[in-house]
Amino acid sequence: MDSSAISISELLSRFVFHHSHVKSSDSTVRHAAFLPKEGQTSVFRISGITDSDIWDIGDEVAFRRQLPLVGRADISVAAVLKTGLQAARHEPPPRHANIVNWPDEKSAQRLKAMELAAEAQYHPNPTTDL
Amino acid sequence: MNYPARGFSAEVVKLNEILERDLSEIRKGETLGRQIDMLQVLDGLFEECSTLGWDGYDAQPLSREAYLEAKKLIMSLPIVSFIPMPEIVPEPSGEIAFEWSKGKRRTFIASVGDSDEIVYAGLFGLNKTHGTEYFGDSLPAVITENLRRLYL
Repeated sequence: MDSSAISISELLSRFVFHHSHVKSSDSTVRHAAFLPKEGQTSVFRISGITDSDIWDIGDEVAFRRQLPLVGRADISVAAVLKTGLQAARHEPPPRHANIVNWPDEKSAQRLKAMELAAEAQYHPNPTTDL
Repeated sequence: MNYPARGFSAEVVKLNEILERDLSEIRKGETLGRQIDMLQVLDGLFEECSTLGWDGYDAQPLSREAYLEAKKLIMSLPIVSFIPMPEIVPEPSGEIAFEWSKGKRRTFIASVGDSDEIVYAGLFGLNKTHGTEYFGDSLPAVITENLRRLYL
């Protein structure tokens, strides 16, 4: 087994930094939040830590990016695998991982990002009004 | 709309024709109004997403070419009541997507970028589609067909 592989039972979180990637009408995340950059989508493994710990990671990422944290989209590894994509550890920083195995074709990438968005659970940043 | 000839004078039929024409103009005016609103949203997003990394993940700035293609798409949208105006979604590649959504797993997107192409993808419950079409002077038929599939 690949040592970078992540258990199917784990949860991942994608931090969101732009308001346009969230549908305000029903508080769901859009496909664009999951689209890959250079073949990977950066996420954090969040199973086994508290909600407060998860937001602390998000705040740290936001601080490094110098952008306000809008929210986060949680998705199970099982849902990622169901789309044909994979999740692989990629530390440091601790708990960092990537969603990989994206197809080359742009339209196929969008479809997979839409499937991820449909399965994700969006959480707005509790410390902002967004 | 057809009107039964019996029981209607020529004047009434003529009045109905004028009314139909005026209603059609009003509908066109409403659509134009919504298109103007969308162009304003597009302008705002183009400005907001003009710097590298605007999404926190090294996103490309929205390109001028994508902006112009997006304007062309907005002005090409079908004038039919059952298809609502889409939402504009900037993408990390510097392209611009238009999203029509009827709930979870019932979504269609069409993206434009630097080339004369529309990249599209749709989720229709358990059914899926995706592809690329040349975007010339008018919206490709496959886009309107997928929107009909979503809304009809």
